Amino acid sequence: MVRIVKKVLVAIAWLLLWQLASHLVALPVLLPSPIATVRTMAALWGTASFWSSLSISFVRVAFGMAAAITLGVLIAVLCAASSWAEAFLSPLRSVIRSTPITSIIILVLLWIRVDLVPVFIVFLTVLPIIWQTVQQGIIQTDKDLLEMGRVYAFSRTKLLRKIYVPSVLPYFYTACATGLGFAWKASIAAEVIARPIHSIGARLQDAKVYLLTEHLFAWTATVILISILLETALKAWMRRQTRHGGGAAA
Amino acid sequence: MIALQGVSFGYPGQEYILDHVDLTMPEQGICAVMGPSGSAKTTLLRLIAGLEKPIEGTISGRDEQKIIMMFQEDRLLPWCTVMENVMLGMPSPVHQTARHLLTLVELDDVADRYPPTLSGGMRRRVALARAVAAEPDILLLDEPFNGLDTDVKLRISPFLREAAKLIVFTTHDGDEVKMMETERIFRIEGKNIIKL
Repeated sequence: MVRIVKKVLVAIAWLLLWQLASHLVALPVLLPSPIATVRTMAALWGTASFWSSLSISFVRVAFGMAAAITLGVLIAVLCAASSWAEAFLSPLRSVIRSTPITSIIILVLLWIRVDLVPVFIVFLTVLPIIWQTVQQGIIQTDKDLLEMGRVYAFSRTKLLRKIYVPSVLPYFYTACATGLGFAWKASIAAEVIARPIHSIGARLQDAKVYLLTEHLFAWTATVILISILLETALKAWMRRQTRHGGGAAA
Repeated sequence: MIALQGVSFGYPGQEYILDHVDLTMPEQGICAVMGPSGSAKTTLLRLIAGLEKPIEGTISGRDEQKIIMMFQEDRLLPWCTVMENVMLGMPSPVHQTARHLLTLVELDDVADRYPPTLSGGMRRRVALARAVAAEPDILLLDEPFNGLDTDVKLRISPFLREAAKLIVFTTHDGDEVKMMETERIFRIEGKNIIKL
């Protein structure tokens, strides 16, 4: 209870600071007030274009995440099982991680349809996170438990189901939660540059072009809100899945 | 019959801890391996279990035998309940048999709990039940009574004595040797093993 009160008080303090700053700047086009932002948010939420932009952006993030999770887990298993695969593929991971996202967006724009660019960018952003974290989880699997499995003559399937999967799950969930946060940011960055018709990024770009700063703030606040909601839901689900009073944890 | 012939073993980069050991264990019965801490009792069990390979010599009599080793650490799966952990070892998992085994180790009331919520002694007994549930021909027990109260040891030892054809356990406690009605005692002395 004290924790919640503390969080609410901190949020109120920051909102007051924002209000004060906007009052001092006195130019809504530079810094709109929180009240104006909330008012714009409410107005936006009542429009059909808001929901279509939001849902299509969400679908793009979901597809990109699903592809990254599928391939990330497969590559992680491959790299954990074979040092040759790790040696061959790890430079690729380093290149993906260190290349500026905008460079990739511009390059990818030349290759694929604009509405697929955010999907690909989400995929490319989340892939190394899932890959590295899951691989680490596999490598960190308790050797004593694996030896116990050997003594009890576990089949490969049983070893996977009873030891590897539960050991790696906390790592996997952590990677998904981290990846989700990055996925939204990457997707919107890609949408701003690629400008697919229905997207949050395109709406942000419109707001910039027409100097609708309160719209920019309202869209950004909406994205933050959705990110927090999704992350909270994911973490709650993760906690339910790993509720056994202890054991492996990332 | 387990027979070690000229077995030498040492961990990588270290000198031999067992040097040219000759040892025969009966086909049936209860054997104790005694010796101070760090005297290679666990290593001997690991060699018999096939978890380590001798650098020199041979170990015979393991073929066609189901060998189960209970480790010094409980090695229970923290994400499985006590019941599920016991059933892991069973050739064909039967809920009723697992429950019966848990009753024998006086843990039937915690069947649905997870290992991290149990005391060290309770986890030890779950590990014992799991080892027995596997229906081994040869049961290797590494310090099986560690962390158990004397009363509990006395109550569960009769059930443990019947758990396999051949039981080999390590201990440094003479009372445990008596309690298990041990038929053959081996002592590790230096890098060799002698029969008492």
